[in-house]
Amino acid sequence: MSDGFAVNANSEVYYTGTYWNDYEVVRRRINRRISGDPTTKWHQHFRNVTGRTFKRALILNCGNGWVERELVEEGLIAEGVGIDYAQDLVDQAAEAARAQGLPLTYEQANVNDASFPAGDYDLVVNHAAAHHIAAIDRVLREVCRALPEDGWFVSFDYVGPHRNQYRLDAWEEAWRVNNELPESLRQEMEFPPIPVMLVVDPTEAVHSELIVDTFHRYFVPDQVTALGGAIAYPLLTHNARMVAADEEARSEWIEHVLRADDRFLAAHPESTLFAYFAGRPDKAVLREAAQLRRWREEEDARERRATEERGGEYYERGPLATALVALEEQRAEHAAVRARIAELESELAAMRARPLYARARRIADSPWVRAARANAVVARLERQVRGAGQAGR
Amino acid sequence: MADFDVNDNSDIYYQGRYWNDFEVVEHRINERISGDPACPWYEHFARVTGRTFERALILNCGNGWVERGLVAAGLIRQGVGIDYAADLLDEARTAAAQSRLPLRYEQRNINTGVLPAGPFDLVVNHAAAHHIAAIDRVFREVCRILPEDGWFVSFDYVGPHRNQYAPEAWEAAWFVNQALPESVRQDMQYPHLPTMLVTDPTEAIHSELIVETFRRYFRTHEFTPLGGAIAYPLLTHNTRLFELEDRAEQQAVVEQVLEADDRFLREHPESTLFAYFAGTPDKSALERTDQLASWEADETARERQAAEHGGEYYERGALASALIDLDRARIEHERDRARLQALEAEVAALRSDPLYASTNRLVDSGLTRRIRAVPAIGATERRIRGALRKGAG
Repeated sequence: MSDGFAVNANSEVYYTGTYWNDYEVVRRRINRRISGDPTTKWHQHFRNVTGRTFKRALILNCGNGWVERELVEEGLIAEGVGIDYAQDLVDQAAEAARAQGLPLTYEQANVNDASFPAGDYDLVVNHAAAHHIAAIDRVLREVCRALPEDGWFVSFDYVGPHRNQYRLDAWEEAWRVNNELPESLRQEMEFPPIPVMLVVDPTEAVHSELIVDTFHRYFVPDQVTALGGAIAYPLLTHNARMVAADEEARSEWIEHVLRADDRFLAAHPESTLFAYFAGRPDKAVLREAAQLRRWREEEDARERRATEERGGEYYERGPLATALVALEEQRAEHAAVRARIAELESELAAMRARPLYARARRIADSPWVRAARANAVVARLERQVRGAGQAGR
Repeated sequence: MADFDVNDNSDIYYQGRYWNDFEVVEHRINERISGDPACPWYEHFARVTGRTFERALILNCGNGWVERGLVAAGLIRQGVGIDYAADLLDEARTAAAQSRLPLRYEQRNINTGVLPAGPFDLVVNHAAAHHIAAIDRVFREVCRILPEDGWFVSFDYVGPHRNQYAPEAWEAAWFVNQALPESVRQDMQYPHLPTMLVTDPTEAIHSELIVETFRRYFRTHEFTPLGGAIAYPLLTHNTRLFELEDRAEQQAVVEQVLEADDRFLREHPESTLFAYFAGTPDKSALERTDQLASWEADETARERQAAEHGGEYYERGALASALIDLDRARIEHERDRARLQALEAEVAALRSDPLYASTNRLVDSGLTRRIRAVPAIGATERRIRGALRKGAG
């Protein structure tokens, strides 16, 4: 099954760069949206809501394991099992757990297979994991099946447009807000290039906009909270100037960006890039065989089409993506032309500089040779000599 | 008044095929205005006012087809048309004379706000106001010259300035286009701002200000948004669709596009590209001198700022910037390709220069190499070359 779905064999692309929530003011805002309190994080809020310490949690796409280590330390879970496709990250996670004596175990697995390590779970955690899952229906269905009636599924994830192909209206508004910032804090806005994303990490945001819908298929939601980001995320993530600026110079402008983000989210609630959501399995759905078959067929057809016909692309490219891909191609072709020009120019210079030729050419082009050639007799003689030369060859 | 953009070349008008050249579209527009697909805006307007107007002023009348129709339909008895293009006015005069219609014409730049001598009981704006730079000045003057019971009637493009369509509309149109049969898909080109500024700097110069400026000076009795955000860019100049021989399929496609257009207009009422509206002058607006002075100052500042920015009034967005970059990249690429071809020709010419071939044969010959290999000769050659270089330096 695993070879049918895009996986990423190179884990070095994770945990790099500066994200919007590396700014405290952003974290506080996210916390406030989820829990009503700027200092209560999503998992603390989740613990307050459920009032439980979970016995054994499954952590999807756990990466280097920092999330579940925090969950154990905070007392949300007693034990945890993490799965990830990247063996090196799984090894790091296992090593860290061992070193700290935490009851966390790990298995390397492709989550798209939807077969989880054996055992009972009363909680499944999706922290920025589901947006890497291709077989989103298959996996969330299996999570529903694996959980008991009173188990929970909790998510904190990117749920925006697939492969970060942001809505044009959101991108244009972010562009406008960026132009309001002082130049010293402005983002180099680059619309995520689809062809590059497919190479760097084909799992990135592969079906992110289907996550919330699919969650609603298999779970009874207890809370779904939009966290925004349509404006703030592209302006604050990997913004090197903002990172380099001192706190005093940037804080009011980060607030400015966050206010623009709030406004956009209020006007377009469906534009949220991030969401916190939690719920309990809806076991009744698992008995609706016809419905389940339809969803499975839909997913299989979607994956087949993307892999077999479209080189990993699921959806039509929008106008901006189309223009930018054309621009990239144009630039690549242009670079090739410029390289060839440089080559030819040096070749031509070398040819012209050949010792005897340069001198002979100067003589041939000199005024008195030209004057001599203008003479009818000389011209006739030259033609005769040339003719003889050619015949002699 | 040369500080307002005018267009000296009237050849660009009345060309290409617009969305309302499809009968289905025309019927839909009529139906929106009058409730009857066969009843156009001016017949509807005649019914609403129950009047035949004595003397109408037609703004930017072009070749005069509109007012000839209005006389024929019995809406107006006499008319005065103004336009900047003298050649179009000549056409209009000739046509009126041939049909013995009571229509007169005057050449002027409407932006001066100086209108022909009255009285007028009707002012007609048929696709005229979207070419006006001094929109506040002109509408104020229209209000001033009309009697209390006079009317101002408009059928115009009121969408984004210079057809820089809203991102959500353009993206929605993009995906509607993708869903059409490939053979009738539009070749979607986002209106290229620099080209527009060259082709016709008056085109849609302040189109999005028309309705709000109208409301400053007139009591609105009629206002119908006509949509177009999706259908206009997909149908206008869509050569393949216009030339489709299967009329039934053509109509089906146009209807499919119109349905998408209706849906979009319902969800985004402010997105309309076209509108029909009519009203009577609000003379009290002309007495609020402070308000008038501040509107005038706004307009002067706006025009001055645009004049300083090469005719651009507003910041460019992300898509417009990408397309301008793409265009520039294409031009540079073309230029370098031409340079590459010239270089290739130069290298080929040098290679086929008999002097080049013969001198190189001599330099590269075995004999030359053997002579140079003699140490004494080699040393002499180096001395001579050194002396020559010094002499040249």
